[in-house]
Amino acid sequence: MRPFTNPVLQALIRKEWIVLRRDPFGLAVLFLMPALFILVMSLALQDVMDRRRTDIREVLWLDQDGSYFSVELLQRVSAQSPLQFRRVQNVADLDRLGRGYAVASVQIPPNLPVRLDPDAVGPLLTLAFDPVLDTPSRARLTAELQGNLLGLKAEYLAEDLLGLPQAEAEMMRKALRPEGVALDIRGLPHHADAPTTLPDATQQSVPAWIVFAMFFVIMPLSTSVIGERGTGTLQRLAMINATPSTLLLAKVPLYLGITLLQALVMLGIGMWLVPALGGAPLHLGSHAWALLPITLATGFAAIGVALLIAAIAGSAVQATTIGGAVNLLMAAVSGIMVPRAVMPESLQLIGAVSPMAWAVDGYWDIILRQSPPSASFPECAALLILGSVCMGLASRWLKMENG
Amino acid sequence: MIHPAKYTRAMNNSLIFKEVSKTWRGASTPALDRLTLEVPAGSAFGLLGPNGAGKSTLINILLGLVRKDSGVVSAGGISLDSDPMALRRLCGLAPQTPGLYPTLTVRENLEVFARARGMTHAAARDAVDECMTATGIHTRADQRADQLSGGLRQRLNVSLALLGNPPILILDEPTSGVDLQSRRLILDLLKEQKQRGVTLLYASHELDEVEELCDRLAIIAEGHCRFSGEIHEAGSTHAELARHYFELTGDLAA
Repeated sequence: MRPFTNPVLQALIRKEWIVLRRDPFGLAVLFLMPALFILVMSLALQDVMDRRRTDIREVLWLDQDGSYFSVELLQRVSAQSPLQFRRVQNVADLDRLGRGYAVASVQIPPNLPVRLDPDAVGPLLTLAFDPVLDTPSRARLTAELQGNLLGLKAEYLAEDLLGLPQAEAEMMRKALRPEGVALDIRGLPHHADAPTTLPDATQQSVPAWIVFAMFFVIMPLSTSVIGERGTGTLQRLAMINATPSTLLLAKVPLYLGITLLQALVMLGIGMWLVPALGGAPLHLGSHAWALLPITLATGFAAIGVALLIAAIAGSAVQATTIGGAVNLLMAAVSGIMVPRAVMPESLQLIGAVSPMAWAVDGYWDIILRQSPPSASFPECAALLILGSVCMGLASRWLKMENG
Repeated sequence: MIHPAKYTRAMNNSLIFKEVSKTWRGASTPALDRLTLEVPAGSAFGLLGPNGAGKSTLINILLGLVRKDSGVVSAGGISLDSDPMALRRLCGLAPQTPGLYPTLTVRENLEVFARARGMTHAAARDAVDECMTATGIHTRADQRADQLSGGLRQRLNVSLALLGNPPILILDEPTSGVDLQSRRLILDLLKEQKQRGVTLLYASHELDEVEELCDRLAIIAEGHCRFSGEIHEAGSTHAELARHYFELTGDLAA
């Protein structure tokens, strides 16, 4: 039987609708709690986030060459640039750029001296910019790198070709042409309307608390299922051949609707109420529609986690305790309560495996990084997989309860 | 009025349990130990036993809600192992815990289960009205289940079991915690069902109810069937039946 022609599913969805309507207080909490958090945190973090935005001037420097020339290049550029250069050891460390902890990255591949040869082709290094770095700063960093590379190239040639004036002169001229110090310059996906700053307090708070609010449905949803297990309605439903999957699936449409509504209300608060109270307004950018997939995927994951907790918890008290702890722990390491930028790296790594962090990253891809809509698809996929796995396990668990 | 007798003794709505065993995970003793019972079609069969005797486990196994370890179970000639869904369709259940949605009204509770059975809106409305009238809760149709008294809640529980006029009714202590009026109404309603040929499996602690309603009974203790047969075989008077019960179960609280 197809899901939406299944009479059990239809009857249960209708029942969920009545049950939700009868609990306006419970519903209101799902909206008021995150709304208050957004207002308070957007205003409270305003100064801290503004300071952080101007503080971050870091350039990641990955030297895979290690020759005299690459070491010398860093020294010379560091001495000239107002930016701070931070040496990293692995390509994976360059991910920090995408996460907003640096404004640019420089990657020098092995064998730089070979590529300084006038006959060599291809870029000498790879330079990547975060969208938040303004154009003059980009131009300045590019010029500093090119200028110093030219100087090093001249040194290399002078040293290598000493004693052969005719040929050297020709090679020197060739080497010192601007195309002789080609760089592979990459900007991270950047939109023309993109803000030129790191997240402000509103951009930090709104996505973070939207995600928290969605996962907050863990508590009412899990206690609702536990209640049904306790009152014997699940037994009665099983009597009319309703499978555990149907019982769980019936919870999805309405709670998904609630999470969608939560996101809309919170975005509205960020766009209109926060600025009215003196905070920075939230701009959705030109791909606002792309917030829909990440919102639905986040809601689905939250519902899946809630149903799994409901299936394994023995009582409503257990469900709310487990649900509350899971929610708070995820929020703590995911950059919901404290921006991830101020966390130690070890905690940032832990946070990266939290579904809330995936969801927040998905929102930031659209709101903050102004990435193309597809940028949030990996996070959407991860959240959908999580939701499906949790629902499958919950269904399996309820079946196993039969002994 | 509930439907005219749709199912009669002519239909084989008997219940059969043969050598049924169940041991819960982690338990050292079985909840049911090779229990054998036969409930003839159209009979009212009392299932007596102290708490933890295995009555609810037996009912849940019959309905496929709990998996048995071994044995054979069938209802209306349908084996649980071959077609549990068809078996469940024959049965109406009034579980020990009423199984109601507390914030839904009486009518809404009934409608949810009627619609979930695949009834059309009109058919569900008629069936709901019928069941409410039969159990006398039609005057409380728009009252929320969590605002009902214990007696009315059990009447709603029984109404839910009657939905769809199942030929077999399974009732797990349907009069526990109810007032005298509701108890009388439930017992009269069940007698009426019995007269129509519906098979009743009635689990209870109350000897006098079983005596009044049932023509056969089984006494279960510690997962074993200690007695199964006609009521008069267990005792010709209430006192005799009670003494027999205590001897078989060692249960002084019954």
